[in-house]
Amino acid sequence: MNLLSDTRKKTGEEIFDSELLPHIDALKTFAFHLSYDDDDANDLVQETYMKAHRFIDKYQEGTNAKAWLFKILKNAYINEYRKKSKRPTRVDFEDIVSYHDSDDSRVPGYLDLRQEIFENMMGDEVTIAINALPMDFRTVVLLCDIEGFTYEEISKIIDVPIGTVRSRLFRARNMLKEKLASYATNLGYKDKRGRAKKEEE
Amino acid sequence: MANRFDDQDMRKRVSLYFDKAMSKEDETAFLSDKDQDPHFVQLFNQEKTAREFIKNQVRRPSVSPDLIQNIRNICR
Repeated sequence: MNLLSDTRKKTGEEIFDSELLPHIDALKTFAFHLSYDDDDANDLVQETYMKAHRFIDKYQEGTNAKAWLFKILKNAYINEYRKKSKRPTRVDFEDIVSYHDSDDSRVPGYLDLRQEIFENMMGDEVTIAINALPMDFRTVVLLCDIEGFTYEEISKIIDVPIGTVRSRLFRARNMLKEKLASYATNLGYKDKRGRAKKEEE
Repeated sequence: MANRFDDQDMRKRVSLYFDKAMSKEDETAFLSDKDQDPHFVQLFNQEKTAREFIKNQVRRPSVSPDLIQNIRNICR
């Protein structure tokens, strides 16, 4: 009986070390961009691993550990850290999202940024621009564009339909590009969007 | 010269491609279509640049050895 118990415990620890801990860097990045604070991010990551350890028997070895951990972290943030946030209450964008859910192709204004603009940015602009996005939009950009999760994985992590993931991503990327475009304008680049069309007319 | 493909559709396909949300068949057709239209190639390259830049430049705070040790201590 003891032997069986020891074996189970050891397996859990091995899984913890080999499958869960390797994702700590990604979790810290996600936590940092959710909380805007290094200490809060550390607390979130620690809490995530505590919960993962507590519920390790619910995790199936060899399945998507990263997505499982991100879901735990996201829920921990929602449940505890957002309440403490000193930031102003976010605007509820769900009405906009619902509209866009119906048909992405109707959304106008897909933004392009020219390559040379990126070459002249320092990098901090990206972090500032991402952190300025409303939380629901920031989350999908972080999960998809930074961590490379699929629509399906994101849908499970944040508990929304895949269509909502797609529409939030579409809108978030445009918001992000809009913010980066204003940095570009500050760098001296002129906004030429629409000019070609006018010239054609 | 008019573009071979609808602009909105091209952008949608470029997004799906980089999001790895295409089936194998759609991906093959997309890559073939893309190479036939310089405007399509341009959109593709712009999106690739934007995504790589954002991914590479976002701040990734370091994880301290203390945090790892704390987690190990709590979870043992």
